[in-house]
Amino acid sequence: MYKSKRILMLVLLLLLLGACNKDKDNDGDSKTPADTVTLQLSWVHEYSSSPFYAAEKNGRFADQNLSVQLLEGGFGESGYIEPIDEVISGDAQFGLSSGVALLQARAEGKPVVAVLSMLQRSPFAIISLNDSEILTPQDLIGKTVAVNDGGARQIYDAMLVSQGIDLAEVNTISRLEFGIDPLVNGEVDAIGGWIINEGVLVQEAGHEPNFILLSDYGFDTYDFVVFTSQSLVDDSPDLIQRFVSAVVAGIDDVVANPSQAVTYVRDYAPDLDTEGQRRRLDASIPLMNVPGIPHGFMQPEIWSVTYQILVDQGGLDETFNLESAYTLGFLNTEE
Amino acid sequence: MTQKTTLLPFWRQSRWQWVALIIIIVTVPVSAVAYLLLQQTERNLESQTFERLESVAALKLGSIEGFLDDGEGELIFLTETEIFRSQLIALAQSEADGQAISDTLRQIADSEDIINEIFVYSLDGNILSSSDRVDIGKVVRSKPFFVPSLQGETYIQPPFYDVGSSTLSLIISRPLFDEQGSLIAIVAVEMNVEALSELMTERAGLGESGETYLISLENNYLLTSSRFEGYETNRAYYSEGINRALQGQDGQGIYPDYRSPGVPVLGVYRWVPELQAALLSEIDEAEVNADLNDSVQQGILLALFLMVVALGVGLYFANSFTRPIIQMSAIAQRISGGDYSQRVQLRQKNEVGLLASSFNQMTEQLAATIQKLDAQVKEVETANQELRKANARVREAARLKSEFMATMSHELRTPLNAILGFTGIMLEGMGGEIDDDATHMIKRIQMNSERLLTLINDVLDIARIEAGRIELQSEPLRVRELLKQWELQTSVLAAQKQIQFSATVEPEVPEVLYGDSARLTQIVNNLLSNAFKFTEQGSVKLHISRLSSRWQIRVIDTGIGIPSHALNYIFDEFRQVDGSTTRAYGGSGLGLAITRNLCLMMGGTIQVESTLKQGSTFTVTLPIIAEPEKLLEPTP
Repeated sequence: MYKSKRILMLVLLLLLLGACNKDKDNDGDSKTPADTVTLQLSWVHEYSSSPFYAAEKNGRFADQNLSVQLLEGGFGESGYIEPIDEVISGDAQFGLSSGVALLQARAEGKPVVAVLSMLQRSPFAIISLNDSEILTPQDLIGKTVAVNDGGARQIYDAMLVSQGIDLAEVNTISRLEFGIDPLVNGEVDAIGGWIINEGVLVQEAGHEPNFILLSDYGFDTYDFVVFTSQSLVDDSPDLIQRFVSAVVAGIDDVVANPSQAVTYVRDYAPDLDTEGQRRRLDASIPLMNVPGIPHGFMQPEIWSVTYQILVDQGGLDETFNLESAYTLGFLNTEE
Repeated sequence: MTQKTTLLPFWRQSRWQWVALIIIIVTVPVSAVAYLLLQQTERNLESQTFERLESVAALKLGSIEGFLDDGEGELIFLTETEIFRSQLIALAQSEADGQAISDTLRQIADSEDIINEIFVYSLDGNILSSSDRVDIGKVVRSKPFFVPSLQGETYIQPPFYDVGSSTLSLIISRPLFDEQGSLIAIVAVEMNVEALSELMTERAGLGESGETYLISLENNYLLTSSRFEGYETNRAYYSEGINRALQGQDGQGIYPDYRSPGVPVLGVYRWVPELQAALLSEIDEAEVNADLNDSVQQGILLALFLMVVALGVGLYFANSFTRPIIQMSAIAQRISGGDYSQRVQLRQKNEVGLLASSFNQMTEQLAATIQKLDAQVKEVETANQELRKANARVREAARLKSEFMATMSHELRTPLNAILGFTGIMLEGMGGEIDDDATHMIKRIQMNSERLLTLINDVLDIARIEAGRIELQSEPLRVRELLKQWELQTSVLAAQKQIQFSATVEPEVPEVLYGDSARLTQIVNNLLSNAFKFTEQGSVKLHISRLSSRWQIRVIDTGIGIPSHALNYIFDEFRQVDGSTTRAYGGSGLGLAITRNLCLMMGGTIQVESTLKQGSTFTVTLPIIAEPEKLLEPTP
């Protein structure tokens, strides 16, 4: 009897302690509310943003006491939603863009700073159908090529020039559509795109694609970079550190569990085909996950290459301070 | 009764208990031994399999080394053979056209299965020439092998992901030096990973399910093909073995392999640093255990067979034990049902046979004893019957005797009363003058008639008592008045014999008692008449006293007394102390018998104390009976 009473007391005590603990947790939450930040995506919801979905759904942001709003990108009412503009205006604290675009923006006096690279390998290629036998840049002479304006076009032009091609010899037009219809319909001979996206689309449409990878010609750039504003770097390095850590953890999650990542993609974009997203994600994982390089890492060499391309193209003044455009300070250098 | 034995639940039947015991004795050790043997076999099979896998893995590591050596050998051939060397140096020094040498390179590449492509690049990473024309003009500056390849030695670039082809590339490079020993270009080969696959998929010694494959550290991609359908190269796969090897560990184990949902395999894993890859040599556990399963099946069959044998043997032995017991039990029950002709039919010569023959002997003795007892019981019963008949006859005779005596007494009194009546009349002179002689004779007649009447009355009383015809009254008695009455009657007798007589009553005796006054008077008269009869001088006392819940009437005389031997039968009928007294003192000899019977009927007793020639004391003890009405009404 005595013994059972003691056990009862113990249980009650434990319950009480548990309740106190809970209260403490609640107190903790209410004392320091999560920092709310906004990330402006560069494209519509799809597999490429899966690390952010994973970070949200797996509580990586919450672990860092962050409340993150993911803003869908792509084409809005007034054209393409430019993440750089959104961050500069302060509507978003973080954005996604390419390394080339960021260097140019910085050169134009827009104080943006790259903090991590989602992809370690560039997927950017000139994509054509196999029948057109476009295998080298020289094969593009006299052909019509649709390339996105901005950073993509800069690199594309630089690559042609580096191969001794007069830009006038190629009919390069602005790419204004998401899809590959102009290519498949024969309106253009080639398009600039990502092999893990448009490349897969061509295959899904039943064609054999040919790729001229820009990286094969030395134009290995960071094409998918998370950036923020200089003011945030100066004022809230801790916030950036937490955000970067959460996103890197999101990349870890996607690499470790692609199936889960695809279900998260479907949560944000229910209309997308699971199989197709899985194929694209599978193709992009080798670009995110490279042996010997930590997830999200940035190599100064690649930034230098990008810088050189832009200088060569006359898009940048040689006095441009490259180090101001990116920082490795928030990245864990250990794999 | 016999069904009861067969109705025992089977687990209580010793037959099945024996069977269970024998089955346990047989199967438990056999199972234990079989289990141990199987475990031993399993261990042996496993260790043999692991040994085999180890040797296969070693063999494959050798093959990989050979493969890489062949690649390097090709580069040495290109860079050391003068005809090629001079062309390559010319190319590096921009004296030759990359397109022109491309054909030569293609011919060499095509002639070697292990090589996909041969290419030459400048120290700033531009591809000067290639066996694949498309690649001329490309830049390898950002490729992982570029910087290490400039170190001046042969460099093997572990497989890396090629974005354009979405496959893994394996590059071996070798520096090209000019005549002065300056590094002027790099010659590289892209190895044919499919050729490596063929080396890996050569499956000697790996049975039906065994395979050897390489998993690249690059994204866990399968580098060489799987023997199973649906598992493509350049896809990520995971297993315990893969993970461990990719962490740089060598070892072996049993784990689910990469196939979803995972098939348990016995695997040997090796880290291959040259390829930054895991080499796995595995075989399905199911295949390894197939032989073992055969053994298990045989073991189970053997165990089942042994159980059946044990069942049969057990039943045989158990039956031989229990059959005689069941038989004996059934026979014992029939015997207890009264059939002593049953005998156990057993020819066994063991203890059970001994028991059976003892049982039979016992049955025979039992039968004989019971027969004897039956005969004796019959005799006793016959005797009893006769006794009962005799008893009835005796009682009937006694009844008839009493009836006869009652009737006779009555019939005798009628004429006697007539005699007494007329004698009285004559003595009063009513029949005429009678002289003295006649008067004397008539008086003798009267006296004898009266004695006869007394005798007849006594006989009648005895008869009535014995025939149960006396009913006692319960009426209030005034003891002291009764005593005066008795004194008055007796004083005449005392005066005649000149004997002192006293009648006393103790004050404790209640005034009123309940009883039959006539019969009490009879008792007292009998006792007093006896006392006077046997007393010639001295005194006779009548004394009434109380003894707690009883009262006593005592008659004390100083007569001749009663010899002690006679005290036992003086209350019997027709007995006086001896024959002579009857004649000397007269009397029927019935007085004391009547007195005793009356006392008994009243719930009392009569006792006598006597000393010869000094006197006798008769004590009648009676219960004090309270009046029923008085008990109901409590006195105020």
